[in-house]
Amino acid sequence: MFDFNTLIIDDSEIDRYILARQLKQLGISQIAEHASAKSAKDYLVALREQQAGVFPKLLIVDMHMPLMGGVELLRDLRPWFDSGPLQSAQVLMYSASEAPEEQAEAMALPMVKGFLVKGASIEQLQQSLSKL
Amino acid sequence: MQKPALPDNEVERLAALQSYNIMDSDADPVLDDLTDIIAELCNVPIALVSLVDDHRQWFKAACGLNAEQTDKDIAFCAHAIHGDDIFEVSNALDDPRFHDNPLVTGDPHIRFYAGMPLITEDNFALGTLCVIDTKPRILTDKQRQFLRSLAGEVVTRFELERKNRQLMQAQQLQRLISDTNQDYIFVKDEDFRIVFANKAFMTLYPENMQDKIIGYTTVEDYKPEEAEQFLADDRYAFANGRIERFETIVFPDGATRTLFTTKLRFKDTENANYILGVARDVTEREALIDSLKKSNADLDEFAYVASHDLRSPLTAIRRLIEWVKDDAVGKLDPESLRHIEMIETRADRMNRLLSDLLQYSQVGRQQHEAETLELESIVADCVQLIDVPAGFSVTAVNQALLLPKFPLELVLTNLISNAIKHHDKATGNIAVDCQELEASYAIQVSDDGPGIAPEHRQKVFEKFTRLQSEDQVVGSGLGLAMVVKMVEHYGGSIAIEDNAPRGCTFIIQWPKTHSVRDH
Repeated sequence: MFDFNTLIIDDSEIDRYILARQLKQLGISQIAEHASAKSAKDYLVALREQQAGVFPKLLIVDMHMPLMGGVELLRDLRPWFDSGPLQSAQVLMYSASEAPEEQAEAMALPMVKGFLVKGASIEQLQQSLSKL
Repeated sequence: MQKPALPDNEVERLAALQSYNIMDSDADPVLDDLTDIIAELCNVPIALVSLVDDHRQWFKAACGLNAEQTDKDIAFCAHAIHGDDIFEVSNALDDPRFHDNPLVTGDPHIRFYAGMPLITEDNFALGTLCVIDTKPRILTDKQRQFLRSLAGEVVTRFELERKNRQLMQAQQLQRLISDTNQDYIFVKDEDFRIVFANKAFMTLYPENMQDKIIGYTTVEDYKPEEAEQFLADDRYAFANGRIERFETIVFPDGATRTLFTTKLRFKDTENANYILGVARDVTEREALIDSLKKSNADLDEFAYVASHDLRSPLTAIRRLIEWVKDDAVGKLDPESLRHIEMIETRADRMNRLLSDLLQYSQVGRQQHEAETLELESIVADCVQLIDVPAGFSVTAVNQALLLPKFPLELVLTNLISNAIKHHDKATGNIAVDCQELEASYAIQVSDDGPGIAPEHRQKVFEKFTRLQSEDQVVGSGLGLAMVVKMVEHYGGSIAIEDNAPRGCTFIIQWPKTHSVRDH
């Protein structure tokens, strides 16, 4: 039903694996994975330099990563979302914590369209995606 | 010879005499002069200030007599103190009371005696001012008047000395109190000069500087910005009467102290303005508060680590094992499948424990404002979160409440789910009731379960306490501890009572104007 070009940014390999597997079960086939904010950003910069680069439509970003967290990364990429190559992309923030203040902090960013607690079942993931 | 009678109030009279502390005291030149003067005025050789105690008369001052004291039994003065005016014997040889008195038959050969009692403001006669002659005589009216007024002067002097002594004692006590007081106490005049400082204050200065405190403003001993601040406070206190402030100051002895200082304006008897300063050293207390704040922050950090770093691998395990199970059905033997299921339930249990721990640690960190709520719909919301088995009903009265929503939901959810979890039958009713009292709401959650024995009622509120084994009842053991923590955070209390005909009732007193405890 949906096949977004998807970018997962999470420092935990297992969490990336689980999420990617769940996404594949939901029919999403084009998935890129990055283990840090920096490597994700390098990847996006490289894409911009290629003429025919295809930008992700969905970013699933871990809120808590070493060196640069999800919120910081998205603030950094703000111009890309406002009027750049990520203009039509949407973000699901991903966190192990269900603390309301974390969720509020994430949802305050304009490009963040949903908040997902790690360990979500496939049904919950599907529900989050269907709201996009 | 007739011995003097005892005055009716002798015990009290002796106590009064004692209070002046004059028996056997040093000579007083003023009283010596006074006996000289009265002897001259009455034209007699002997004049005495005589004080009568329980066995003797003792001469505080004497003119014309070398004796220090005599026995009370032979003392004329011991007779004189019974009256309130002059006791006069013009010729002792003619007086049956005294004609054979040794003081008459021998030295100093008294013939004439006139004694005016020394009567205190409390009406006790301590002794007399008396004049004595070796010849019979009679005083003129004028001489009697002199004797009366000079006796009054003697008493006034005694009173004055007693008051002085009491004052000195009070002053010594004051000094002792101010010297042993660990607060820094000082008095400044309107030119900001220190006019008094207690020992604690003095020791803030190195010894070689201590003679430059009294009479000085001492502002040059402090950093300019600190001196500026306390002078501004001084001015404020002079203008407005009082100021209180927490201040951190580097003192002349080199130490940095945090003080809670109160400055209070007062007037002395000459109407001059001063400020009294009392500074309490709260350095350690403030340091303690800082370290408490830090350990609270550490605790928050820990709660976060617990929620994130412990949970995230756990949820991964949970998901992965689910996939293993999906793939294994039909391939693995039933025992292995059962083991996989056991891993699943243990992972779920651990996840729930982590959630509860996190929630428990966060109770009270956030402040929720009171809002208008409907008990019935709040209970309905709570029931949504609980897996209510068929056969159970949860009912609530329709009552409007003005309480913080999230805390109330947390409390009710825990109590209702507890009532269901611990129920011993397949069917049951849980009723939520509420009475609005003057200052609080009494919210009751009643069940028809097995009840809680009185001896266990205190225990159920403790952390990690279960009355049943983990395998019988699923729970982290934090539910009721969390309820207590939340209710107490909002100034309320909780108790357990029997419900009729069976089960128990949790009664929460939730204050309307919740006074939040300051953490």
